[in-house]
Amino acid sequence: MSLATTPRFAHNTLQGGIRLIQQKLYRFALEHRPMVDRLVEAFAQVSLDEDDPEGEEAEATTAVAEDDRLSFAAQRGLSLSDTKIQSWKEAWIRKQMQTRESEFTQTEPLSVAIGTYNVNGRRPVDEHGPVDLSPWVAQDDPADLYVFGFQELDLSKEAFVFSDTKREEEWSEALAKALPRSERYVRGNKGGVAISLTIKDTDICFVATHLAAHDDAVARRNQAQHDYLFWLGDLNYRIDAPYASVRQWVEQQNMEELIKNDQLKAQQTAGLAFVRFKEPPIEFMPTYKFDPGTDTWDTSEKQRTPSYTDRILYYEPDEGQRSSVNKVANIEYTSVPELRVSDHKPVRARFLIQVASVIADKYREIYVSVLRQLDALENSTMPTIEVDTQQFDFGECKFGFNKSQSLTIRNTGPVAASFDIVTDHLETGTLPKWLLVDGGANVILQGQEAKLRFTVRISVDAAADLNVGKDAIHVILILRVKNGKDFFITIGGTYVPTFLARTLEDLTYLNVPARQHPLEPIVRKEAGMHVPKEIWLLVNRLLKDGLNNTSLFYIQGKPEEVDSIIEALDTTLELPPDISIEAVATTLLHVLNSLSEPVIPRQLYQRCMECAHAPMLCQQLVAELPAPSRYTFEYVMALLREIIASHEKKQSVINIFAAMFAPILLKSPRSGSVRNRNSVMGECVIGFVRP
Amino acid sequence: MADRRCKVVCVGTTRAGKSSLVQAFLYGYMSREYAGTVGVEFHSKTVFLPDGPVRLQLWDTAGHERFSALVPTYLKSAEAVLLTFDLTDRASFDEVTQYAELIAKHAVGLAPTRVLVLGNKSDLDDQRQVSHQEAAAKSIELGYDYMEVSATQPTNVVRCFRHLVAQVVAPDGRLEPTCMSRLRSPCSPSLISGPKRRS
Repeated sequence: MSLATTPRFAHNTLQGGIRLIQQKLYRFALEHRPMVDRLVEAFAQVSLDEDDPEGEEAEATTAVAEDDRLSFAAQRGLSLSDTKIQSWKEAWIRKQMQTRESEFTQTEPLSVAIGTYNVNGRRPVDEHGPVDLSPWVAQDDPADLYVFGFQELDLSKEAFVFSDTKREEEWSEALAKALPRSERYVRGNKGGVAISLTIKDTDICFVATHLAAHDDAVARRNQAQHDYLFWLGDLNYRIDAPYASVRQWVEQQNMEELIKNDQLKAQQTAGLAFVRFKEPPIEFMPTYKFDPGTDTWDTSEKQRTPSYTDRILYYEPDEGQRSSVNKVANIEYTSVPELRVSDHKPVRARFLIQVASVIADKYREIYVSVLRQLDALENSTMPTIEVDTQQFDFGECKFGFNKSQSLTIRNTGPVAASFDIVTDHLETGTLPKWLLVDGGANVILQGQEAKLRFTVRISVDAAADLNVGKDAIHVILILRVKNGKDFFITIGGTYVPTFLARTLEDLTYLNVPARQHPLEPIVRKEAGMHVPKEIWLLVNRLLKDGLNNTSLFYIQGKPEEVDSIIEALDTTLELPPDISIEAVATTLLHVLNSLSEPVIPRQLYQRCMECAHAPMLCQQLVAELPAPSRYTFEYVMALLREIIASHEKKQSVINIFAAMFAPILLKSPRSGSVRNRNSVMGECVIGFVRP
Repeated sequence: MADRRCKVVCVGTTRAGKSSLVQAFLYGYMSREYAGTVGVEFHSKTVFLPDGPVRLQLWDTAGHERFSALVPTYLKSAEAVLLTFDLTDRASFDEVTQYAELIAKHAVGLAPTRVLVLGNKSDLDDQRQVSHQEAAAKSIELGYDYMEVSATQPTNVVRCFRHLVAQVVAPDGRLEPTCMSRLRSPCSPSLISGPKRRS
C-alpha cells in the first residue's frame, strides 16, 4: 500500500507518525492509545490559575439529565461492586466527552483519495511504453491524502521469497509520476496490510487486503482505536449467477441485477462479513475479469463470471457510538476501464472526512463540567434512608430480661438502599451478648419501609459480664447504608446486678447483698464462706420445712414467688416470709442452673462422663473439686438424700432427681450435645444421691 | 492519567462547623440550620489541581462526645484528615490535641502533612477566643498545616480542600495509598439475623 499527502497535512502526518504494521493488526490496539487518553494529557498540560474565587467549584448550577440520573441510580440500586460502579462512571465520563466532542474540537475537511488495483503481476508498461496511471490516480481536484492498495504486484516465485521486488519499484515510480505535486511525500508500504496515521487529533486507519480473508474482530478492534477506518482491496467477492445471465446484465448495464447478486452485499445483509461497513453506491461495471490489454470480458476456457472483486469500504459505527465530529462523505466511487494492463480494472474513491483538533482550553472546560456533573449525579443518587429514632432506652434490665423494640427504616432516596449493622463493641466487631438484631431483607426499595428489631436479653452469659462490669448495656451501632451515609444508633439500659450468673467461688466472697455490690469484680479477701449464703439459705429452709413434703421438686413454685425470693436474696440476703416450700425448691434449681460456671466445672465434664459407671472414681473426682464446688455439691447431695429417705418408692425418686439435677450440676463445654448424654450424667449423680 | 480518588475524613468537636464547611464546599453556600450529625455523612466532590482532577470522598463525622468511640473507625481508612475547631470556642481548640492523638493512634502511617487544622468561624472576629498565632503554633507543634476558614462567608473553603488534596498527590501525579484496614470490609458477616437475607 502506498500513501501520499499534500504539503498542507504533511507535517502533521509525519509528526503523528505513520505506523506500519504487517499482518499483526492487533498490535494497533497496544501501540495506539485511544483519543481520550491523549486528550487527558492535553488537559494535564493546561495549568490552572490558583486563585479561584470561592464557590467557583460549586455544583449547585450543574444540572444532570434525568435519564442519566435514573440510569446511575439503577446501577447503584443493584448493589454492584465498587469496581463495577467505578467502571460505569468511567464509561459515563467517556460517553459524555464523546457526546460533547464537537464543543471542544474544531474540524476541517480532509479529502482522501483511495485506489485499489489488482495488477495481476504485470509491469506498468504496454506496447506504447510506460503506462500513465493518471486516469486512476489524479483528478482535477487534488486530494489531501492518497492511499493506494495493490494486489498481485509480482506473481513470480522469487517474490514469495524476497519481499522487495523490482516490480514494486516500477509501480511506485508510475504512481509518483501520476500524483499531482506531492512526490516528496510518497510513502511506500511494502507488503503492508495496514497503515495508521494521525492528522491533527484524528486517527485514520487504512487496511488493504487481497481475498476475503477478513476477520470481523480485527475490524472492530481497529475501529475502536481509530476515528476512521477504510478497507480496500481485491476482496474476491463474485457475482453469484450463471455466466450467461451476468454477461447479459452487463450488456444491458443492468446494475440492479448485478448488485443484487453480489456476494459481498449478500454477506453484509446476512451479517456474515463486513458488518457495519459501508460502501458507496456502485455505479460502475464489474472490474473482473478481462483479457489483459483489452476491455474484453474473459474469453479463456474458464470464462470467469464478471464480478465486483475490487472494493473500497469504510466503517460506520452504530448510531449510539457514532461521534458527532467524525463524518464521512463520499464524493466519487468508480472504476477506471481505460487502464488495461491487468485482468482487473482499478477502482478509485474519493471521500471528504472531517479531521478534528482539540482545543485544549475548551476541552478542559468541558471535562471539568462533566466531572462536576458526575459529582452531582453521585450526590443526588445516593441511597438515602430515614430512621424514626436513633436512640433506644430499655430501662431497667434484670437477669432474664427479654424485650424488643423496633426501628423503622424508610427509603426516601431515589434508589434501592441496602444496609447493614456494624459495630465495634468492645473492639470485637460482634454484637454484645445481650443484644440481638432481627430483620428481614436488608434491601429496601424506593418509598418502602423495613423494620429492625432490637432485642435485649439478659442471659447467664451476658449477665456474667455485666455483673462484673466487663460489659454494660450501652452500644452504638452503625447503621450503614451502602454507598450512603452511616447512622449511629444508640442502645442503652440500666443493668440491675444480681447474685445469679456468677461463679460459686465469687459468691462465697460476696458478703453483701448482690444489688449493693458495685459492677466490678468481687474482691477475694479474707476467707470465703464454704457455701454461698444464698444457696445455704435455700437448702437450709428445705431441710427445715420440706423433708416431709413428698411433692418437693415435683411441683413447680409460682414464678412470681420465685422472683420475689430472688429479689429478696439480691437485696437483703434473707428469704421472704410466707413463701411456699415448692417455690424455694424451684428457686434452688434456678439458682444452680444460673451459675456462670456449673457446680461441676465445665473442664471436668469429660472426665465426669468417663467415670460415671464407677462410683469410686466419682467420689475421687468430687474430692478433687475446688472447695466452693465441693461443699456446694455435697451440701445439695445431702439435701437430696434426706428428701429421698422420706420417700417410700426410693428408687424411682432417685432416678427422677438424678435426671433433674444432672443437667444443672454438669454442663457440657460444648452446647448442643447435652440432651443425648443425660442418662450418663444421671448415672454420675445417682451414686451420690443414694442414701 | 488514572482516576485519582482520595478519602477525606472530617473530624472535630461538636458544633465546630464540620458539616457547614462540607456544605459550603459542595454548594458554595451554607444551607442548613444546625442539626447535629448523628452518624457520618458521605459526599463526592472533584477538586481540580494543576495536574488534573482528584475525586474526593468526604466523610463528615459526628462530633458529639458520646460518639467519640467511633471516630477511630473512620480514621483507620482516612487518606487525609480535616481537623476543625471553632475559633470562638476555646474548649473546642483544646480538643485539637486529643484528636491529634487519635489520628496518630488510628490513622496509622498517615503523614502529618495530610492533616489540616481548620479554625472555623473566622468571620466572627469579635468573638474570637483563639488567636491565629496560637492556633498556628499549636498546629506546627503537631506537624500539621493550619488555615482559618469561614463556612458562612465562605472564605478559604475551597482553598483548604485544595491545599489538603495537593498534599496527597505525589510528585509523579499518583496518589500514594496510605495504610488501609477498612471496617467496611465486604466479607464481614452481617450482624442482622433473620430470614430472606440478600447480600
